[in-house]
Amino acid sequence: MMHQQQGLALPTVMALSLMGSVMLLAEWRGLTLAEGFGQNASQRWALQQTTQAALLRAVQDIQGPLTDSRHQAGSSKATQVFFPNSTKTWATLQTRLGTNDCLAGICKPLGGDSHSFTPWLSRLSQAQTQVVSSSTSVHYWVEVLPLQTKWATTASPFVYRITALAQSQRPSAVVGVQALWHPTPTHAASNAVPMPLSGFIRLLSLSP
Amino acid sequence: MGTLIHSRRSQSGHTLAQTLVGMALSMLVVGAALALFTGLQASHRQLQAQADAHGRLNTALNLLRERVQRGAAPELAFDSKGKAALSPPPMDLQGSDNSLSVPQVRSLTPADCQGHRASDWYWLMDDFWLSTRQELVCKDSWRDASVYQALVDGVTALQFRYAQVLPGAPLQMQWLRADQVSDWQAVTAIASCIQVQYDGATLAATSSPCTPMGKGLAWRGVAVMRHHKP
Repeated sequence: MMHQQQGLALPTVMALSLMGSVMLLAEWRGLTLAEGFGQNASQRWALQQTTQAALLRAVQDIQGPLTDSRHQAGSSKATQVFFPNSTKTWATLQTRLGTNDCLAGICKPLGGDSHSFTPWLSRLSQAQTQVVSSSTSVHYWVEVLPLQTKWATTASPFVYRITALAQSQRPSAVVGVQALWHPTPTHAASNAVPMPLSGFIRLLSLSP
Repeated sequence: MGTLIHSRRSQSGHTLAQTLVGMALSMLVVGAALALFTGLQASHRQLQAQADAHGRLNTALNLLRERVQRGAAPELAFDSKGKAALSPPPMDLQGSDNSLSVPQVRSLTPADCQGHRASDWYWLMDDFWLSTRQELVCKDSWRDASVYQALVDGVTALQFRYAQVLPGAPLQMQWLRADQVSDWQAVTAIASCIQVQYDGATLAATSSPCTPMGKGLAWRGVAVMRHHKP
């Protein structure tokens, strides 16, 4: 004959198991959250580096080679956009851009300064684009802005406002930076000297 | 009757001496465990306070670096013919050994150092300094009726040093105290040191600023001024 079970062993074990499970879940949740923060921070850092590399690539794009179709206006019947080297060829560029803000990453002046990258998201099809990885791409645009006479130099009559945007699909993230570059004798437009980030007149991150 | 005698013999207990020894050993083990637990708890508290202080310092130094890097950025101004000119803020960086004022253009930097939307002024001026309540505080000094907001508390020392480009070639820079800076436009970097005190840690009374002798934390960072007057 079995005796009636009157002990508290089973409820105690169950309560302890439940408590342990809850603590384990809480710890797991905290770790997952910390890992998420870490991944976000590393992704943001990687996207920032990507945009800065894109700025330097844009400078190389402006610098040359000066004999290709991206730096020559071509014949009067040509339609390609290019980086102008004088105010006369700059006028030709404006005609070829027509109603487009940008084509192939070369833009007409788009107004005063802005701290937001949102307007650029609608110009992605007009950018110079590079796919960095299966989930990350980077785009850049160059506005060619003629300088007032007192600011223009023999190296260039233009200042270039370069905007770069890096996008990641998984997880979704966008980082934007904008820089101003004016060729100087040491970094002239016709001289393919590698330039450090300190060569920009202005370098700022953009907000949404 | 025989069964009862057998049952009593099988329930032989411990002697008093055995019980006392057992209790003493148990108490010893429990006491050691408690002491270990208390030590671990104190150590955990101190590590937590240290981690909190690290976090606050990291946030404050990142903010300082970000504001200094944006500081004095020139705006593009266009004339009636659409030609551009560079228009830097009219005021320069200013500073002392424990305060810093960084000018910003509102069109490029839409929020002040507290994260609030910038005022309607054309410029902002980020003011950082160590308050009498031992807090690193900041505010936009051009905004009317603004109040300083603490970024880090428990700050026992704050120190700024300035890298000024020396005239002549080759390019040379020198770290200077504020009173030694002769040309604020030639300052290209700012070194900051923030020393904090946190719960459970004390600094030696004789320690000089930013050279902690005790358990306090002193963080140093260098922020590069990216923008200069063209």
